[in-house]
Amino acid sequence: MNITFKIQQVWQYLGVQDDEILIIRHYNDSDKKDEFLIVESNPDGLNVTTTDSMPELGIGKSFQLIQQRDSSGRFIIPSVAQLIQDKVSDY
Amino acid sequence: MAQRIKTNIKFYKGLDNVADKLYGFVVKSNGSWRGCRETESKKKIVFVDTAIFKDIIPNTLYSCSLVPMRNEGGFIAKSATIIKFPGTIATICRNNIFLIRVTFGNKEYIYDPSSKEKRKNDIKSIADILRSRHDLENAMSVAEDFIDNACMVKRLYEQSQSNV
Repeated sequence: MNITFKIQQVWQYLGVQDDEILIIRHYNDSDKKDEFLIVESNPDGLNVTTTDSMPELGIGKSFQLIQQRDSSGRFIIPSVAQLIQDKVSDY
Repeated sequence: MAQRIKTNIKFYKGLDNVADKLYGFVVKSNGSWRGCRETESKKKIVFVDTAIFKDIIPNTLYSCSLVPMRNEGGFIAKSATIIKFPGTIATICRNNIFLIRVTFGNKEYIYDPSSKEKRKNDIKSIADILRSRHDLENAMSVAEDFIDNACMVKRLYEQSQSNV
């Protein structure tokens, strides 16, 4: 699935507000390292940048952070469809 | 040989006031059987084979292999493998909201440093629960990830309080 689409789904699922940033921890398979995706809203849509370390967060900046590990223990961008499916199947 | 059915079921204890008797329910939907709650109509009962009985944790989802009872009144679970869900840690810091939600399957644990309830404001208690969950994938790592996030949220919450 397209990464941008997955990020948009997570943004909507969490109800991130336009003045907040969304941080998603994930494993970059190409570079073999953990990264943080920093997602911000701008007039053209969502802008995604990448950093190697957790950004400095103070109380002045609203944010949401999401992380999930796959079965091998690596951080992945959560699939919203899977989150909903898991909730329903665990009746 | 009776056809085996693969489906996901939760089992409960105490049918007919027999404390150790494990049972679950399935219902047919769209041509296949699936686990369901007791409140569902047209359900059939599922008992656990004595060979696997002692390994079953009540109220936990299992991937099961079922065979029909001879009288067709229900099924017997011949094998059961626990289903582990990935843990998702969602942290929110917004104005006066400082919160972490750890979810897996339909379970949710909340850390809220402003809460008066110990089950919500005690990092260690929540981490201990996460470590002990059999239905949480990578439970140890998820607990450590939770602690890292909770310490950050606690620090930001305390900073916000000292600025009031």
